[in-house]
Amino acid sequence: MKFGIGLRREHFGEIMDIRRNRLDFLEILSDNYMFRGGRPRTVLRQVLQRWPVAAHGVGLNIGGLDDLDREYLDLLRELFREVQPPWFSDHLCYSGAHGEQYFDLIPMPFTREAARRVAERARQAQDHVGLPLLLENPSYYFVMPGAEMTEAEFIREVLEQSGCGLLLDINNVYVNAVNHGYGAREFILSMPLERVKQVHVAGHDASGPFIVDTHGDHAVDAVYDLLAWTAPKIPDAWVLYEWDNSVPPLDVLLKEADKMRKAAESGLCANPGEAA
Amino acid sequence: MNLREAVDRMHAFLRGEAEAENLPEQWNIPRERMEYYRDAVRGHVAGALESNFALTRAVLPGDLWDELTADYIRRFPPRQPELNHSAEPFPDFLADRISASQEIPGPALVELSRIEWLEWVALSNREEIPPRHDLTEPVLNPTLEIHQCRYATASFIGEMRSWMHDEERAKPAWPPPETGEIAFVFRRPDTGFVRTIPARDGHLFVLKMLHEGLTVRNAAEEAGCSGPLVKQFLKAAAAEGFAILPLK
Repeated sequence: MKFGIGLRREHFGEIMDIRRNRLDFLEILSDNYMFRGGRPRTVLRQVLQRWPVAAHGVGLNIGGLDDLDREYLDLLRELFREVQPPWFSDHLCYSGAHGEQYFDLIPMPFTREAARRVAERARQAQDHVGLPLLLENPSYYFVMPGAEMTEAEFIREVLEQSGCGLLLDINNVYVNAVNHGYGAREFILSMPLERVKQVHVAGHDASGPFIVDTHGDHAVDAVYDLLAWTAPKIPDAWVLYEWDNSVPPLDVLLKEADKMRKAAESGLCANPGEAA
Repeated sequence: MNLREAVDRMHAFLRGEAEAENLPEQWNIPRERMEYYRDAVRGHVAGALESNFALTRAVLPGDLWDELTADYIRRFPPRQPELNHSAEPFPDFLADRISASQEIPGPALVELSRIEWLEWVALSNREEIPPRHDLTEPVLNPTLEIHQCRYATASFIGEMRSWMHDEERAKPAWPPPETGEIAFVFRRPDTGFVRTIPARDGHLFVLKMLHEGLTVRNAAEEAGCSGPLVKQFLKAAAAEGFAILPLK
């Protein structure tokens, strides 16, 4: 396994103070780099000299009804020429409609029609960008009416039809399992784990009537337990700690990444050779 | 329900054109879970406005900012995938919405918001600032944006930022005097941060000189001043960050 953190603006001034072997990789939010020059691109260039970089996005709108945004895909491809990520990733949802951007992850109806459509667009996006696309299981707070299958079946259907990889967000599994009342481990076992290339771990907010995936806190022990349990099944995955809101000082984030590494490695040591 | 219908119904809800209780029975979804999405979608744009127009917000009285942003979000749904661009039409929106009054001088507010938007334009400009060792002649910073102001808005921006860092200083008066000035907005080559300054005579001299590609000697001859004075202007422009000088 490899372990990393997201490159965030708040840490631009000190990211290069980290020793190379403290982290195995960094992840960028592509949308924060593809549209702009200046300091983000300068820091990115420095980072690329030291670490491999994975690329994650929020604007692909893979589940949308509007045509795929060619300009967006062109900019992604241009960015990736420099970054050379092993893959690119975005969320299995839609993020805009009728030409409007939501900048949020809106749940798809779990239907065969939706799965077919996403799979077709995912193939187009991969062809255009020229890299494998990983789709992330997003958090969602209600099931869209008209579901013909479960969330797990929907994800499997899309991945099988599209050939995409899976970015398994362990915190989202936990959040969805609690919010929708299913078993997190059963869900993970029902995923095509051989397709998991990357994992996300993050914090959430459980103070309201339902849990919200905020990426703004430490991960809870239950999420680390789930990571430890999952790790031996996906021993080659790149595991990332995502902290996007109320971003803490870099040393706090690094300590959280250490905790994440420890949890995953404890799972690997306890149950070696379980790979999917 | 097909995909189109699901997306359309959700769209109407997110836009505020339909309420949760008006959705068909099969959308029997807890209201707070639906509203989470509407709040999030609006919140992203509101956040982009807050970060890109922090000073415009700071000079507005009371709840007017909230009222304006709510109206803006209704009328200007974002069309571009880059979040900050959802804020781009805001100065034009303000120009339509704010009429001149003693309390909120519309033109001054619109001018302030236009310069704040130019700050984003300069900050995010994809043009590379040339490294000094690649240069043989002085050049203008390619991120430089210029705005002709009716008010002393560039000076006001500098004073407001100083005050925000050190509240023991006197808070600058709003609106700024209607004395007119030219604002230079650019990304600093050394820090990558954006800067807004009122252009002084020496700055304008350097702008003209580098824009027209004049040498120090030609510029001095044309202006009837000495070569050392021209070099002094160039050094000052480089120290500000809107001109880049060769290393040697």
